[in-house]
Amino acid sequence: MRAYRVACALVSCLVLVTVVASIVRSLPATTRTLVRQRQAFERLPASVRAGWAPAMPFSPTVIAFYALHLRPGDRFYVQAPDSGKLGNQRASLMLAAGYALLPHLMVSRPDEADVVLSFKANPRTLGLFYTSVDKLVDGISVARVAHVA
Amino acid sequence: MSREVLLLLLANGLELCVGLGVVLALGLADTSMAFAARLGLAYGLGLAVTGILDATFAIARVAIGLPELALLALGSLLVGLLRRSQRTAAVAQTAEPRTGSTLLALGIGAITAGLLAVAAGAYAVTPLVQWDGWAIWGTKAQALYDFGSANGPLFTSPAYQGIQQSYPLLLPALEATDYRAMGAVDGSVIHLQLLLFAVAFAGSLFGLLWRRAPSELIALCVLAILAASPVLGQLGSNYADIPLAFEIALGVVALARWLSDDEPWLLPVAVVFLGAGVLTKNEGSMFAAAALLPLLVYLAARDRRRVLRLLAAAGAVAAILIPWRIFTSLNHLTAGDIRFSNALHPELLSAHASRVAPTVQSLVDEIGGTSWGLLVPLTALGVLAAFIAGRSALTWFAVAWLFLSFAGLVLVYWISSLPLDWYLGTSAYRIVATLVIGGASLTPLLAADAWAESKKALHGLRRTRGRAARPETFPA
Repeated sequence: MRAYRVACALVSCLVLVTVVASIVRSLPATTRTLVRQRQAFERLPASVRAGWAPAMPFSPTVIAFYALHLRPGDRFYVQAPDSGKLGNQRASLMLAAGYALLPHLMVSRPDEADVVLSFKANPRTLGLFYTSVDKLVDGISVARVAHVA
Repeated sequence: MSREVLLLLLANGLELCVGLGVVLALGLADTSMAFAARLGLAYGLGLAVTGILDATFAIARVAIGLPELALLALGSLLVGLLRRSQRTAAVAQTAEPRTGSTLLALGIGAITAGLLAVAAGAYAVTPLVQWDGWAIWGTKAQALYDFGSANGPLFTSPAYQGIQQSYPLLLPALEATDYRAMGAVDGSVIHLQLLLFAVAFAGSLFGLLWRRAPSELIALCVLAILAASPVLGQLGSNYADIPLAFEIALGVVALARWLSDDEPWLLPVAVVFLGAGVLTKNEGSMFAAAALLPLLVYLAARDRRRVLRLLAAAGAVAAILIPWRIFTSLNHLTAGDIRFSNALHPELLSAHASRVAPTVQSLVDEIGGTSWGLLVPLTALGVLAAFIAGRSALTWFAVAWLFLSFAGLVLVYWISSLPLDWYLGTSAYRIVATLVIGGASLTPLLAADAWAESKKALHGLRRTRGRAARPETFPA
């Protein structure tokens, strides 16, 4: 019985010391990180923070250019180099545009789209007819598809 | 405080009311002290119940906003109060003294509140900058807000494969409800919802273990968990891993208490938290199964009269997931490269055998990493304390859950054909969160009996010394 009590006391002391040590070790660093995080972002205007253009390998200007040329209800197709590897340019742009251009919806086939968003690609290679093609720079364009009734 | 923040808090206030109804119906708040101690549990339950309903209704083309939340809260409170009035057994309204343990817990709770307040300051101004935070969860939340349900191309079309369409919807559905309450999408303010998961976790763990484990030990463990840098760091990234870890940890703690104490209210509470877990991420099902299976084996061997109740609870957890499984099946959504049926193919397992050792090494490195503070040694000591105190069932359950969960994580990397280095590098650091947080959450319960025995011994020692000292101090 005595050994049992000593063992309980010993393990309880170890639990207490460990939990307190864990707090002492983590709390200051976590607090400092959170304070730094606040300082990094608080100077941004609330509207910029709320509608932040996500971190991605494309300039926000590109996404803003695409957004400018979309009309309500437009469905878009993303045309970009696709190496087939994880995180290739097309896959990344599809994620970024899919988020940033909501509520516009993305389609998986160009002939289903109202608009083709091209990045480092030429919309003419898709074999569609367009009513207009607007370019930001060479290789970055928005092409409006001519749907034949 | 901005209008958006107030409206988000209003939505969460209504979720607290939903949980209060559940807590009242379960008879957990029949005294003022119990009410105060279980308020956090009420919020955790409310958040979990609302999340389950949000995610399920999202695939049934029903969008939940403030009016629906208010109706839900009202209905839940009415049912709770009705159930409370039906309990004829007189509830002792004795004054429950504030012990030193309670006061100490309140002091530690104040430090925790301070940490959460600092986090609130950071979260409220942080945009959605983390990749999966906007690409997967942020996109789904905004789409649920824009379209009102998950029945649209974004959730089913191959064009959106990259957003992991097979992941369940609890987190984005809750965030969409917040957006509806705010009347707009705000990728910055929404981080406060994530912080409220931490608040719910802290309050729920305390409410679950109140009166069963020492209050000061529960409070210390909660603070140790939240202070570990990956917890609030990852939570603020809008990834679902930490919300998943919180829900599964609470479900596992409720199951462990049920195993230990056999109090009937614990099983429905475990179902709600595990159910929320399985609807948060796909691996939630694996963590829930890792808790339910060893319990089933143990009870089948030792206490068969409880097996049926546990089977019913397991069935309820599965039932929560069924609508989502039907949705993914109807829309041919697969978990990408990971299919658990692959684990039944010996040739694939054999071909991928070289992935096992690096996976185990990487997961062990992540779990034992310094960023988690001393949560892992703390869990080990908790298991040792339960073993010394003769709590063999609790010891078995904790070890079995931790082992099976770890084995399940290894299996995920083993059967996958994604490049292993990339896969481990992008996910191992966060996928271990459920194991670490779950283990540390079990610690107050595991150590409770040894702690109580030590306290008894300490009081006995004080009394003996007091008696021995008295004649000298107060000579007759």
